Amino acid sequence: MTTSSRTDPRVPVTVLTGFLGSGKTTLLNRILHEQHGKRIAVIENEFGEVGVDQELVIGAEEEIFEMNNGCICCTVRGDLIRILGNLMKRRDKFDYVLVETTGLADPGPVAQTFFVDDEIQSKLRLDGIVTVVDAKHFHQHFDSDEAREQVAFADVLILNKTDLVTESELDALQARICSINGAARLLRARDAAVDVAALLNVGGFNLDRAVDIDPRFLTSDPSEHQHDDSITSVGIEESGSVDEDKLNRWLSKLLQDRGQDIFRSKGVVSVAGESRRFVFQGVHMLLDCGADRPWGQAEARMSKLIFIGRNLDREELVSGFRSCLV
Amino acid sequence: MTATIPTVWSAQLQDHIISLDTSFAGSLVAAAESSGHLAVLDLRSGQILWRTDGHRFGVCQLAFSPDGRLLASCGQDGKVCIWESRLGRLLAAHVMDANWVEHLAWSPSGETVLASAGKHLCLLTNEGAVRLSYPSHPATIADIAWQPGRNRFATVTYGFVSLWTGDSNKPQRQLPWPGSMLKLAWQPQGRYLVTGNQDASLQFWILDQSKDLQMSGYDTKVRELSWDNSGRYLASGGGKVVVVWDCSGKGPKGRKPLLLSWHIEAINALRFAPSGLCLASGAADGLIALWSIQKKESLLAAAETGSAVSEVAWAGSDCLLVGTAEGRVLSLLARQNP
Repeated sequence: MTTSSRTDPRVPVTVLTGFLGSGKTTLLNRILHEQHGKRIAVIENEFGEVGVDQELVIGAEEEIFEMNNGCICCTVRGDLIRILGNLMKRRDKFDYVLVETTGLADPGPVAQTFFVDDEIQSKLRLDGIVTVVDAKHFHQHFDSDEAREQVAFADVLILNKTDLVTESELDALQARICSINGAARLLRARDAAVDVAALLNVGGFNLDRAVDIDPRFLTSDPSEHQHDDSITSVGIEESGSVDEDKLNRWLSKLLQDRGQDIFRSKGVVSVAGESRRFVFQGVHMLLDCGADRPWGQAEARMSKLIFIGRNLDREELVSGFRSCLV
Repeated sequence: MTATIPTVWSAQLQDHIISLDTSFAGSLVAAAESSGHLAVLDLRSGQILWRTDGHRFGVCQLAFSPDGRLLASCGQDGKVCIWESRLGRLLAAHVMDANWVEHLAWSPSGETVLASAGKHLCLLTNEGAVRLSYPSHPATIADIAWQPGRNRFATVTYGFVSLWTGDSNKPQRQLPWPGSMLKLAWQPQGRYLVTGNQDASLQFWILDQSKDLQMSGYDTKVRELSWDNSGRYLASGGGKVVVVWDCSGKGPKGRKPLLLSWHIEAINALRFAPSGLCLASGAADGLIALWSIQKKESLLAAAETGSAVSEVAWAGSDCLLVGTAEGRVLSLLARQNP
């Protein structure tokens, strides 16, 4: 169902999230400036101080639609379906689409839009979610679900305004952010000055990149940290192979029961009797999965999984996965 | 072997044909390109009578007035424009309070044109002056449609359909449904109103009984809807198969729909001929099919257009206009009794 990003003709989309004042708009302008040779369409949910070519900026009001397709319940962004559907009809197609969300936006519906609507899915590919974090003020937002969800959903996290805090404050913030999302790439920046190439075409939702994760740092017990954030990452790393039927049953039941709380999931799994690796990636209840490259002759058969979400029970996840082992 | 529908003429415009309309009375065809251009062509020859950069950033929709004298268009520049059909002279432009004016619809009398932009709705005279303005809808208006022959229309937003008369800015009735509805189609007789939905279903609103029926099982969202003129059949898309509901007698409840399978890719446009039971379908596979709903051998004829079909429109009972994603407009000789 998913093709490799190298041959994927679909237009990539990057979603920029972050609280008001975090530096999202500065980052957006920086991307547009550095990528000036490309045709980039920008969809903005709040009109900021964007100083860019007006022709490519489309203002939209966030509209959340509930979808009920069979057993999968999810929410999507109706405004994006409408606008992107129309944009993709232009002959002078865009090379890239950037969606800047409001400070309080939940990235879940944005991400799900790209998997639920067939028309959007056929023409556009969600490349990644980039979240900008204000290093100076983020601790004030830590209690807000939205701020932590934006961190949890991210493929790339930019710790911005590093010049306004001390090194030790920065390290403490980074540790806290990593306990929420241990899979994202983390970049430190002043004035949102980051290497734009590190933000675009990251393939955060590509199956073939589902394995670019290293759950080793996430297999520790979160109680080792002093804070009790309800949003965490759980990494699982197990050697050996699993039974395919058991894995399917476990994964579908897990997402059915806990899908509202599991924001993102990724994994590469060794299935008994299969010569190729089984890979998956998901957003809430929506799961994309398939067979990847063959296992190498000398390669140790093992599985790596990561779940990012609210109130995750590490032991339940680990024992659930272990019960699938043959 | 399937008969080929003969092409009468073909005209090449530049960008994706996003809206297409015909005026049989005026012998004209109008096509809107996603780039923002409007073109009016002679229905018989295909000659371009005028073409203009009508809406900066993009056109959303266009429609001839019932007498064909005027052409209304709306687009991403926030404007509704009224043009003299044959000469292309801009008669009026009205700016609405939102970025994109997505929908417009002439009242059956032709005296007014209704337009929606985001949550805003406005009724304009055919001279472009505001006849009535309406309170904001709670969400973006997904579609608007007049009941054929009546001074009554429907609007649809996330969560409900509203029914209005052309004289009041207060809704007559509201029909709630918990989901995203995309398209409206009035049965010509006004007993049924149908919505095509984002969640791959279709809703029949039986207005005289205040009942509704949901039909699910489509492959994808349903945006292609067309009633035959007698009001018996509703054709719907939502995938590769044309799904036709028979609404005679007690209505579609419990009845199996007629399934017309032939297209290789998703259907983008469906339209019954203005009279009779001939249906045209156009799909992303670049194919046009003509169906007869009564005959056992239901596929009458077909044509290949070269690129994805985006729009179809009839001009009389044997002339079918087709717009494609690559900017072609074709006139096909769609005789119903080959």
